[in-house]
Amino acid sequence: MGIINKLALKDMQRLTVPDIGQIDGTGHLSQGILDLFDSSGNYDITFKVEQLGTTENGNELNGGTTPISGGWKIKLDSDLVNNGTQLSIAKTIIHESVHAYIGYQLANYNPLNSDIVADLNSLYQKFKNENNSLNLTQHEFMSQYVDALAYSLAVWDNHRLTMDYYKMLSWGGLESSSAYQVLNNKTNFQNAIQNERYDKVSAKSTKCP
Amino acid sequence: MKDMTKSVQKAQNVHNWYYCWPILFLFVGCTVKMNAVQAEEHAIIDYILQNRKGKVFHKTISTTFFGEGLDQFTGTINFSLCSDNIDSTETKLTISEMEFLEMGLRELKTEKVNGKLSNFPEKITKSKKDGYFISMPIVFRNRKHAIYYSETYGGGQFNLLVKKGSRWEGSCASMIWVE
Repeated sequence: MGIINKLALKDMQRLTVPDIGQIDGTGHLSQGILDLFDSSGNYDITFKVEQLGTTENGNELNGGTTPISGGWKIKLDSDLVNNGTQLSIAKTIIHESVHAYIGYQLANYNPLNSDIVADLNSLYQKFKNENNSLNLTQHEFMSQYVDALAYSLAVWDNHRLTMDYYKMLSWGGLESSSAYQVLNNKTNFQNAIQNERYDKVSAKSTKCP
Repeated sequence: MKDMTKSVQKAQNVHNWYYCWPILFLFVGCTVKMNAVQAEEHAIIDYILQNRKGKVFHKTISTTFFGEGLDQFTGTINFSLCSDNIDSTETKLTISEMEFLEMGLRELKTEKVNGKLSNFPEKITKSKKDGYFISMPIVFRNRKHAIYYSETYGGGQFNLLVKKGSRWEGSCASMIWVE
């Protein structure tokens, strides 16, 4: 809960003007999304921790987003919450929040304000015949915003580490995207992701107290 | 007197038959309609197997990976993703259509995708690890539209199909869960 609350805060460390009590910091992705749902009278995000299990191909699910009546439910895997570092949990919450945001945009589709839906649709047409077409569509879409995902993570972590490290973590869950496929040093990326996911010796964050 | 009883009974039998005919017609009519729906379901399964990459698991599913009934997601179906490509009359579901789909999704059963259901046995696998999963389709709107659920290791979605001429075609999808 503490992680979610902190993700909703603006970036207090990157104020370009002194805090004079009126300026409340600079916005970022997760803060904007959580703020959007907080102020929405129609849609909520609900967070739940539960055992998500492992898929048939050995993929351990860290989180999932599903539409429910009146909003979206974000499920966080209890193994991640118990065994992963706070950075890994925060990264997963940001990732799943963007799925909820995409759902919000589709639910509030308006022909006059449809840039995001048009972008999603053109990606969907590309993946239409794949079995997991919407999964691929959304992750391909999100891969365009890795810098924003990473920046939100940096804000949450008070810019303690390098932006490169936050970016490496933010690629977690986007491995199917074409942008990830062409990256160099993917092993380093996966090492960082796994280190934080399982709180390994090389992890740069710590588990929840 | 005996003759009279006989003729009354005969008349009664005719009378009974007279009233049975509509029921018989109704029964035959329902059977024909059921077969027509089943024929469409088989055509849809063939369409999926023919057009989707990979192999489908040999049994259809009726819940999500998390064990949730598919009927509970009827109210979340949203095809606005394809608003640029498809007329809203196709993508918008009426209340009665939603009720029909909800009932159909609630009553989904697991069926074997074998030779009886499909002409593409080479696109079927018994290994959960190698395959993707589908539910039986639900045909609606006078057998011109259908919805089925599909799932892989990273998400599940409802898929809307439209019949164009004699062929089924994928039209749009609505997210149920994503990793």
